Parts: sequence; structure tokens; C-alpha cells
Amino acid sequence: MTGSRLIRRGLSALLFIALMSSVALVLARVAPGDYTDVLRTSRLSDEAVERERARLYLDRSLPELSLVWLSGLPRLDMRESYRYARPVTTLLAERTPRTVGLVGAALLLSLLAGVLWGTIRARAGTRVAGAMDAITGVAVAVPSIVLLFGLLAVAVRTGLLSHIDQSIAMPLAGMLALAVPASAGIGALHAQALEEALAEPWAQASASRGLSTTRLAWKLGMRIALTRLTSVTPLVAANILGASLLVEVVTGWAGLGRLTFDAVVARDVFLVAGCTAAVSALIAAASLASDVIVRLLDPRTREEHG
Amino acid sequence: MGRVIGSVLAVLLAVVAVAGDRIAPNNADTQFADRAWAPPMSIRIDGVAPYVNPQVLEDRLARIYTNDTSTRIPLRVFASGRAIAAEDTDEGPVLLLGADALGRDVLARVAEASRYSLGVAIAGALLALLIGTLFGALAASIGPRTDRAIITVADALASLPVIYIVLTLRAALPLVLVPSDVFIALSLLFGLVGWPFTARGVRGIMHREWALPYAEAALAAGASRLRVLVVHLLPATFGFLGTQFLLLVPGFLISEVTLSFLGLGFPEPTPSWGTMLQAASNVRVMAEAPWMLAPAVALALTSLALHLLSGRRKDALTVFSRAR
Repeated sequence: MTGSRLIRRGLSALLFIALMSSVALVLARVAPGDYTDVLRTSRLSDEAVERERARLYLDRSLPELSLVWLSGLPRLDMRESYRYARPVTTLLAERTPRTVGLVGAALLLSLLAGVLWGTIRARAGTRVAGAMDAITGVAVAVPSIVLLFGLLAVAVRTGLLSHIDQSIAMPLAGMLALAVPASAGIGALHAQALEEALAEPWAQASASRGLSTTRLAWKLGMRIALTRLTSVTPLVAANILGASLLVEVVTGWAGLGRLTFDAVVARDVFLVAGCTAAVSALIAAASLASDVIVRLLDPRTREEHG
Repeated sequence: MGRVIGSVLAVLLAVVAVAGDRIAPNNADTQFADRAWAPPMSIRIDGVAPYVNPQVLEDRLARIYTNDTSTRIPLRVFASGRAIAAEDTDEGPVLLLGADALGRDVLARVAEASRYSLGVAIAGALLALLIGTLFGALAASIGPRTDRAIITVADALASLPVIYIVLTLRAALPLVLVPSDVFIALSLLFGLVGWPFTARGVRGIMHREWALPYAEAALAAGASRLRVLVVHLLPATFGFLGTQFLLLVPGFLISEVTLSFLGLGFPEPTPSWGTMLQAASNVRVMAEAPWMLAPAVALALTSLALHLLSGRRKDALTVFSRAR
């Protein structure tokens, strides 16, 4: 990827973040009522409530509010959260790494397990392959939240949960629940790619000249894994990120999902926009990183796009 | 084989969703005194006659129930307007899947909840297909500028996790809504976030079809572009739309469960799988009343049935292309 193309992609990503967060800001503001409604039921005078509304920019029109948001965005000044009475940027800096940690660990585990599963599946005989496909089908279909409830129920019923610190057990269960469907999906994708590659004439020729099938599968498999899987990783990451919202709530993991929910319930306009900006930034960063890695690994993409 | 199992499961789930709490011996909203957290009753068979033993509350605080094996409550199948009915006795309610904290029949509530949870997911998926087909057809048929504009918006929306978009859109609505408004609101939200997945596929198919000789021949014979689009090109998308429907429904089902779990979907006492799972999310409830996890089983079975029906193995990439 050339420098100018990288800059173009970076600018598109920034525009995407600004646009998505602005839309979220407008949506959160057009809802009936606002954060200061609760103050009207208190003993505060109308003047005091209006002063608070002005301080929180709630007396501004939608275009003005959007301008306030967009003007602060380049400096990462996302204003103040009503609910937490703290800068939105500070809250995001605390919560985003926790979500990245949970999603990143699940993604890494699913990539490793998926590649291993897919490689074994591609080389398996008909019966084993059929059994593996059935397991894959079930693992892909069952939602992460169901797996999480299942894992927790087993841990509770067997007494396992009482032996492990809950601050470790809950996120661990969450990470496993997120990784299982993704691993199965990656395994299916990898097996499909490997089967197609092993059927290519040059792969058959290598095998006929004495290259062991194990070496062929693993050597070839790794190359396919590195190129093909890298290109779908942003999609997998987005899937895991979406599923992580409820997992965070159930396991009590104070990440971006929990923060977004709190922001929506509190009608915390800037925090809703900030969370959307953070999610958009994560997706854009994953997509950009995947593009760069694929272009570094596969010379054909460099020739195609310059 | 997978499709057969998927079809059987899907038909069974559809029957349950249509029948609602008529599947169970009790109504979904009936609260039985002295039956809070009552465990499931075992169905026993004497010859060909199924029956259950009534439960007796031994200790209210410890929630200890025992079975009175000296008494039987006969069960009837497809009687009194119910799939499973119990004979009228004074021995208390028949709770085949146990009861919740308010003494309500869990089986009746899971069955009734499938109406709401599945109903809103299906309505949302149908709306997403409608909007997506419209935008996909417009993108492929009007011109390059419209095509680029529509696909840019679709790509931007489809890149974000659906649940985050749904949650943000939900922020624009009042927090508390009546069940009928929740149904309409969630269906609309799902339609609005689901269309990009359909539009991209329909656009691709229509671009390919417009270039085929039969479309050119129809235009040369004097047919208008709209007629060619609707009469000749649209049928080519039906197979894709069917698969897309099966991909969208599980995604929206999980979104509904998430919103209801968070208190932003169907409110109590309306049963939905999300509100029911919320009640089961406590570690103590999981330990002492595992039957409260019945909605998780229903959600898993529905997801599995739709996955098997869609025949996902053909293209593993679609695994990650659903609206999750």
C-alpha cells in the first residue's frame, strides 16, 4: 500500500467516525426528554435548571449541537458525560481497552483454534469430516449469549465457580463464549480454502513429486490462513464486538458495551456519540490494519492496486 | 440431512409460535400462589395414560417441594383447546417446565414469548428484505452515481455491529413503550439496520442480470426498464432473498433478546426470551432454578434450525455476513 493510498484510507476512516458519531448524537438528542428532566422534579428553580441545560449544551438546536461535537472531535475533546460528570474521552480511554482486550483475546483464540480445526478438517476422511462439519454447524449456530449461560450454569452446578475468583471466571467464560462460534466459522472458512488450494494442479504436482501431504497442508495452510483470514478478520472482529455487548453486561465487564447501554438509558448525548465514535474507530482500525497486512503478505494485491 | 432436521425443527418452532401459551396447560400470565420457583414436574406413563404427581410445598423459605406420589393428575393431549391439558383437580397447577419467581408457568411463557421474539425478528427481516431489494435494484438500475451513493451508505452501515446501531437508534425512542409499540419500533429498527446486507447482494445479482442477453432482448423488444426490472430481473434474486431471510432472522432474534434483556425491548409482564433470560442471569438462579434457562435453549434451537435450513456449509464466508 502506497503512502498516498494509506493517507486516503485514513482520511476516509476519520470521515466515517465523524459521520457515524454525529448521526448517533442527533438520534440521542431527538428522543423526547433529556437528562435534565429529573432536575425539574427536584427543588431546583426553573432558572437553575435552564442554567444546567445551557452548561450541558442541551439548549442548543440540533445543528448547533452537531457543530459543538464536530469542533471538539479533532482535538479529541468529546465534552462531558452528564451521567458520570467526567470527560467522555477519559471514560472511553478507560473502557475501550477493556473491550479491546476481551474482543482481542476472543479473536486471537478463535483464529488459532479455527486454523487448527480447519486444517484437520481439510485432511480428514469422509466420516470424520462429516462429524466435524456437524460440530461446526452447531458451534456456528449457537449464539454466544447462549453459550455463556451454558458455561456459567455448568460452572455453578459443578461448584467450579466457587473455586475460581469471579473476577477471572466471568470474563474467561465470556471470552470462551465469544470465541467458540467465531472459531467454528473460521475453521469452516479455512477448511474450504485449503480444500480448494490442495485441489489446484500445482499442489497436486508438489504432492506427486514427494512433498508430504502434512507439510503441504500446513505450509500451504499457513499461507492461506495469513492472506485469506487476514482479509476476513475485520468482519469476524465486528461479529465478536457485537456479541460482546451482552456478554459484557452479563459478566459485569465494564467495557464499551456496558458504557453504551448506560449512555442510552441516561440520554447522555455526548457519551452516546463518543461510544459510537469509539466503535467506528475500532472497526476502521481493524479494516485498515487488515488491508495493510494483506498487501504486505500478498504481492498480487500490490500489483493490482499500486 | 441437515436441511431435513432444520425443516422439522423450524416447523415445530413455528407451530409453538402460532399456538403460544396454548401449548402448555396454563396461561402465560397466570400467577400461582405457593408455586414460586417450583421445579419441573416429570411426566409419568401408566399404560398409555400420561400423568404427573402434584407438588407439595414443604418449606416456603427454602423453596422445597416434594412430589405427592399417592395422587395423580391425568394429562390429556389436544384437549380443552390446549396441546397439553390437565384434568381439573384441586391438586394444584401442572408445571411441566417449572415456575418462575412469581409462580408463572415457564413452559407457557417460553411458548408465548416465541410469538413476540420470533414475530419481531421475522417482521424486521421481511422489512429489511423489502428495503434492501428496493435500494439494491435502484443501485443497479439507475446509474453509477446512485449506485456509488447507495453502496457507500450500505457499506458504512454494514461495517458496524448491528446491535450498536440498533441501540443507538433505540436511543431516539422513549425508553418505556407499550408492547405493541415495542413490536412496531423494533421491526422498523431491524428493517433499517438490515437492508444493507440485502441491498449489496441484490445489486450484485441485478448488475449481472442486466448484462445478460435476455435483458437486452427484452429492452430491444420495447419493454420499459421498470418492466424488465420487475418482471424479468427480480425473480433472479428470490433464491438469494430466501437465504438472506434465514441469515437475518437469527441476527435480529439476538438483537431482540439483547434489547429486552437490557430493559429496552418488551416490558414485563409481556414474555420475551430476552426478559426471561434477564430473570435467569443471576448466578443463584442458575444454581437453584436451572429450568429458568429454557429460553436460552429455545434461542439455540431456533438459531440452529435456521442455520441448517440455510445450508451454510456451501459458503463459509456467509457465517460472518449475517446481521449479528
